[in-house]
Amino acid sequence: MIGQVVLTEFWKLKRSAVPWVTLGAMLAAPWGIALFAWIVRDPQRAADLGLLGTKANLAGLEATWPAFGSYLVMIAGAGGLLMLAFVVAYVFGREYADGTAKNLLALPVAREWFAGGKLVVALVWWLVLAVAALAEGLLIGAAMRLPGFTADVGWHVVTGVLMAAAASFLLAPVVAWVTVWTRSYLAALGFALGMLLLGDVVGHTGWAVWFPWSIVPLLTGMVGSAAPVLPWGSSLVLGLTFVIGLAGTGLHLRLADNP
Amino acid sequence: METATAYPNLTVAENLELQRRLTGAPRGSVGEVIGRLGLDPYADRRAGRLSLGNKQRLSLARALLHAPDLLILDEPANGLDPAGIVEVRDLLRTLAGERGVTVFMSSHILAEVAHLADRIGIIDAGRLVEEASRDVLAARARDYVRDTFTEAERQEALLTADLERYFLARTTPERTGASR
Repeated sequence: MIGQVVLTEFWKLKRSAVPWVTLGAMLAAPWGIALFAWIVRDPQRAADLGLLGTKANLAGLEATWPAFGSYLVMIAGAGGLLMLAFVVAYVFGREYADGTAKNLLALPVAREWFAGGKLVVALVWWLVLAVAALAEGLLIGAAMRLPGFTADVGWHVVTGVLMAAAASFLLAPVVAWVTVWTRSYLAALGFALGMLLLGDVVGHTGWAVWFPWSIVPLLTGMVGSAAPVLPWGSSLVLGLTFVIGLAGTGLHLRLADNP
Repeated sequence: METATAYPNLTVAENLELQRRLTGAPRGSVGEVIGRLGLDPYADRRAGRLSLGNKQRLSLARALLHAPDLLILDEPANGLDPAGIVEVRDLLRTLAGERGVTVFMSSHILAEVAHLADRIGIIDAGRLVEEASRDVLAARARDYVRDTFTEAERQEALLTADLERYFLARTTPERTGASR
């Protein structure tokens, strides 16, 4: 039955424009970095075309593979936190928006399985987005013939993106919990945005390794230098956040009398 | 099913297939309920583009997929046109009479209750104030009307019932057996 639950959750995306919209948004991000890299590399031509070279210089961007790669990792981090929150809020929140939550939870299926099935959908969807953005970014970097590519740099970009994506996903169940609790997309998105901002603030303090929404910025280099490996305490915090979010979502659905 | 809902981007058949898989209903049950509820012309239409009446039919179809012994319906005729109301009425009669399904229904359309129910309960502010067979309740109602209403009020009540019968006869003669 769990297989049927997961299958039917994927079915619900049929003919929905939302997956394509999120894919378009994720694929647009590497082009943005590529544009700045191009401006930095050829400021005169950029100025002739009316683009400001100065802004790219002030951003500290270099038109090299290590710099380009680090920004790809940041896309998977901060952008991922918001995009993944959008995905999770949609997958869970649409049942309330479409009015199908009552029907769903009245079915002879353990309610926690629906939460699990939806998170599987969100995970697959998010991985597709992250891998697509990564692949596109690598192709763009190659097409631009950016200097400084080595096997080591390539490996760090790939593992950095995948680790940022995985770390972001560990925060997803909390967004799911907010969605089912408030029965709304908007509250969940507001929560995610608020946590992203708070994470950035806390990330500049000495407590960054202990606050879940600062750990991803720490890992990706959005605050300070990118940490190649997470401290054990941060891994524990992320794991606990995942478990708490999962338990909260499952329990809320199980105990909801009138979802 | 007071408010009929479905996944708007899935077709009627897909909504039912999704339900079938999660309830373990047999493979052929989707086609069967689509036919029984008159949803054949809409089977491949997205649920988001259905009229309210057809959404109600879809909700009823979902409830019938796994051939239940007990069917609990909340305002099943809500949003249906007269032809649809007659269809649902016939369907529920068939389910109860031929298949032995117990139908527990709530409705504020008293004419439907009168046509369909064997036993009727009257609920007020969450309390069951009276429950009896249809014939017993009808007799009590006649006595009440005779003792309480004026002749003019009784004539008006009869006119309302007559108008309903005439309207149904003019719009669905093949179902009511009346001639135009």
